[in-house]
Amino acid sequence: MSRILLGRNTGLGIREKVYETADAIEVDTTDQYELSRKRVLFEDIVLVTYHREVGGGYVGAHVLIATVFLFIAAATAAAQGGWLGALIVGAFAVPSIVAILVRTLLQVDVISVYSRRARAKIRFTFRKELAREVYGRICAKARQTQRKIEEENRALEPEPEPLPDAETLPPSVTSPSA
Amino acid sequence: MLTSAQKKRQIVQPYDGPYCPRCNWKLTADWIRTGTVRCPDCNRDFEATAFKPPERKVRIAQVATVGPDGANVCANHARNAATTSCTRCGLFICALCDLNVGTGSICPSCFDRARTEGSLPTATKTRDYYAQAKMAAIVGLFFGFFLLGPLFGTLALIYQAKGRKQIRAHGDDPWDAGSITVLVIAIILLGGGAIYDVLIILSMMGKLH
Repeated sequence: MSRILLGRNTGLGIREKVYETADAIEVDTTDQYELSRKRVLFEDIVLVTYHREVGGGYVGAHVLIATVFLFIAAATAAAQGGWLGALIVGAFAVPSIVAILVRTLLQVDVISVYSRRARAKIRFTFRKELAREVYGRICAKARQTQRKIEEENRALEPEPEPLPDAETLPPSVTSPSA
Repeated sequence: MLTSAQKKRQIVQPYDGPYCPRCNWKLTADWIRTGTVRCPDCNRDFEATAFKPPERKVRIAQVATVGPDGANVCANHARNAATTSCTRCGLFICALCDLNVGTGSICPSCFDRARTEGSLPTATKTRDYYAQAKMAAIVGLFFGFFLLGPLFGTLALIYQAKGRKQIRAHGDDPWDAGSITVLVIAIILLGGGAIYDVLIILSMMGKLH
């Protein structure tokens, strides 16, 4: 079975692609130009979580960028008195302001998968329905795999020895009625 | 006195189980449950589905029970019957010694050796040629005006071809939208850049009026 791309986990210092395979979730982490792979086995999954967050780091970085450009624009306007230069510099802050607004309104849906040995994270900014679907799919796959192992374990257990034939009890002695 | 490497090792904690997805607080067994969970540390909610992963039981067949006929003995456990052989050294190994990390059965000594050498496929870091192709294409777009378009176009094409091979080896589709975009940019850089360079050289030589 080829891998199915479930989603990505991209942040300020992280670039990950998360795939689904037959028996595990594979996380490809790109560090500069090096690619390393990690597997979160379905049979090992302990907890799958879903939450929605704004992302303080992302918003903070864009606030900083927007502030710098707006500050330069204000300084340009104050120094030269011309609005054209200030507007041009200020325009560079617009993408950051839009990014802050979009993030604040939509937020980002995060799926975290924790196993006994590794973890994976997937972020969805726009496709909320897909995020729900992926969350359900991971849970279903983990449940299915773990149930299969339980069945295999049960099959491996030795069958209990049959009970010895019950000895025929002596005829019950009923207490004579008074 | 700790060395800087030791300090670094102390900062990077090994993964040891589920955390709160919001604040990374270590969740104890009481907090690993299905439903809406409120983190005791950050006091914020998250939806959770908990599992109790079963330990996989392994049937270790003993030579005495399997019978000596047709039963190979495990190289590490004289009493156990071998179930497979190591894909690296060929030793017969029992179910107990079978360390399969998704790349075939490996015996414990080969596993240790491969991990130390860094040749264990799951522990190996590979070069991401696709990312290099993307970078070459982007840089080429900027430096195309400095007669370097064909150079970066060629680099992007080479890395893209290697990246495609790598992606195909992983079992993925090498022709996604990003890959096609990189290819188109590389061809434009190579073809368009060559024409641009020739025109610039001709004009510098005064042959273009």
